[in-house]
Amino acid sequence: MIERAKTTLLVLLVGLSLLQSYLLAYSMPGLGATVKTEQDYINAEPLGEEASVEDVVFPEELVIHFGGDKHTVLYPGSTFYDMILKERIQGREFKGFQRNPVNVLNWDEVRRNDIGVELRFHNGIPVDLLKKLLKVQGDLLFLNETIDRIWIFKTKDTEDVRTFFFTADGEKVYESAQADLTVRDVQDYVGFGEYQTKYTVTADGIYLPDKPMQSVEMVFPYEVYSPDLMQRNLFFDPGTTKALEDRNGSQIFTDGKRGLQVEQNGKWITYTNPAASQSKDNLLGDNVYASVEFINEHGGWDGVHRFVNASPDKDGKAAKTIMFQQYLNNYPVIETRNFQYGTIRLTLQQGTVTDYTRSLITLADKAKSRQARWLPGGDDLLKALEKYERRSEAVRVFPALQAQPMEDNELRFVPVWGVLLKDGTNDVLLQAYPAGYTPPKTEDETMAPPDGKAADSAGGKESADASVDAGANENAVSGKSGGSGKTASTDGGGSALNKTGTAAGLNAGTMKIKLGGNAALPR
Amino acid sequence: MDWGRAKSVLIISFLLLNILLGYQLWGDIREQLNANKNTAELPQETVAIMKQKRIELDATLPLETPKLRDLTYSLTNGGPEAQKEVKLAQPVDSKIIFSPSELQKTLGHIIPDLDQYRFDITMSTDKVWMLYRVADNRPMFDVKLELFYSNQKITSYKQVRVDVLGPGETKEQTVLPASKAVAPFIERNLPDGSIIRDIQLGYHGQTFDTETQVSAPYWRVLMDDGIVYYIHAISGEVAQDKEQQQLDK
Repeated sequence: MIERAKTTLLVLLVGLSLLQSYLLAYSMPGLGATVKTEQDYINAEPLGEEASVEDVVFPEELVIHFGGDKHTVLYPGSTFYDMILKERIQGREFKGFQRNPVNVLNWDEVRRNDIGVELRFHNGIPVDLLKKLLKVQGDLLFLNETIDRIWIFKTKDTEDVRTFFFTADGEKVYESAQADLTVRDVQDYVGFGEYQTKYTVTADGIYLPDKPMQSVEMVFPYEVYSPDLMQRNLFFDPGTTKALEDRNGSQIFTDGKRGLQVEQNGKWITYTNPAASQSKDNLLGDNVYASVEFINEHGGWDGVHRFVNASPDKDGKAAKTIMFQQYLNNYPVIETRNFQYGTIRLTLQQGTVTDYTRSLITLADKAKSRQARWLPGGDDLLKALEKYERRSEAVRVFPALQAQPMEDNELRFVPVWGVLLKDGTNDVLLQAYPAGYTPPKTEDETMAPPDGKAADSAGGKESADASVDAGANENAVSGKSGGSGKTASTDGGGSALNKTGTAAGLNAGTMKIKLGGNAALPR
Repeated sequence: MDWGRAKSVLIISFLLLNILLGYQLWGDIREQLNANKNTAELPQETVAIMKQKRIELDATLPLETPKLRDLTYSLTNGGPEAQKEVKLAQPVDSKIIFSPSELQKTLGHIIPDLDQYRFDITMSTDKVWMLYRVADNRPMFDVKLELFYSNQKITSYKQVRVDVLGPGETKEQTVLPASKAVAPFIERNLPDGSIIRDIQLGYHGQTFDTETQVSAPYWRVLMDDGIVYYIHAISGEVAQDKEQQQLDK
């Protein structure tokens, strides 16, 4: 009897456990499953090349001080810029930061008298990002700063090397007490810049070259991503997307939340995805990471870009606008009023991209044609700056390229002097001399060539990229720094000159420049 | 072999298994019951966060979860920016706003499509009565009719007029319940000490410089300080008016 009851009970229990297992597994879906999770973009076809944050963070210029109120400026991509930054500064460690008020030293005097080098970041970059470029170790206070200048110099009387990091608010400097830089390093920096065009400083700290500078005008064929492709890339559900037409004739795609505006005949897009502000901080560093990630996934990078801090407010806490300026052939490309090209601009809310504007153009690898052009220097440039209508707002003058659309999917890049204004916008200050014009040589000039960049540029877009690979070669060369490097490179430089056929004005003095160019040349 | 004993062992082990499974099942069921109730109230964690951030909910959470899809309409008299204030020849008593029939009787022949607009007291101020165009019985938050009043008289109005082109071809989808849409939003977006005054379902979208506009179902969350958030009623993404964002900063 008992055995029977037991059997029944056992069967019952087995049945019940089966039933319960079934219910658990199938008929009672967890609550989470019914909630539609926020679907991310499906990324079928990545467009363009990817980049990492390291690739877009670099100083906009290096200013070399020779003492005796002599200076020169090196721009990104030029051989000496790379040699100084990549080989002489990047590997070094900066530690033991001490906080000081900015007036701890008389900087005008340091600028005039002490040899050294300045790394400049307009509007500053957060230390968080700076760490991608340099080996920096500091306390929490320092790590939260935004740095707009790093100045490494040798004091005149003593044989000390001092390194200062300037905060963007212009109030503090941090001295790195334990930077592994030697007097020799600083002497090398200065040695590199020796044969460059000298620059004069205006009263408000704008550097202008004393002599004309060679640059190059280029024509590039290009391809355009179709707006359709971009739309598929940016909207996760193309099925819900509607196409509209703007009153100005531009195309608009929207799903009621996201919007994609295609302008300029399908070459320029504005993507908007409104998001609300969140209660946590909007950190510039985080936003830069998010931006790079976003661009990698949506359109990629056409060539080298540099992160530009476009946020005017100095504390960097509410920094929402991120800009990347395109570099072509070592020159930044600045926007023309009637043709938008050259910058990728994003607005973010705590890492969510709400606005994204960029060009859909991808340039060909090689320029179709190139032609040497000269940018005015000395008095011509100074006068142009003094006459410039927004003179009081100017903060920096730099050689740049301006893109002009041509027929048959081609862009012409014309060298100009660009000027950076306080509000972060770029403008054209002065056009280059007409094509074919070569400035008369002065005696001084036969000794010192215009600028290393000009020689570099002969290599074209490909050389800009190649110079990265060339780093290995340069390494070997830079081992013999200073005087020995000069002689060792003489013949190499000569042959490079012949091959590239660089315009007149480049001569014996270019030897060291050609080291880099040489390495990048025969391919 | 002692079959009886083996059975006892099996019975005990199955009993234990059943208890375990039963416990799991009971947990699941309880969670679901709770979840269903949650259309009326927020999850425990959100309430805890609200307490911590001193956020108050001064509105009742709507319980409805209708199926909606996007809505296309075209502007017939220019965008919101193109609108000018139109003066009424004869100012009328402002109290009529509270009675739709009286409003229609008094102003219906002056303001076109007046019957298509619905009064929203939560967005009205001491100078303006705010009305929204209604589509499928839901307000379109971008299509406004503003009645300006002073000294208890309505003196002028500003109106955006549209033709509703009807829903798009997209599939209808059940909207997120207000509680579910609002919970992550409270945790992430709201600053400490905010007060939610009103939550409503309607249509909203990015406006472009085009005749045709597309809008999607959104929960509109109105804060006590006048800031408006829009939560996409299907994806749960939070948006904010551009101008307000700037004011915010």
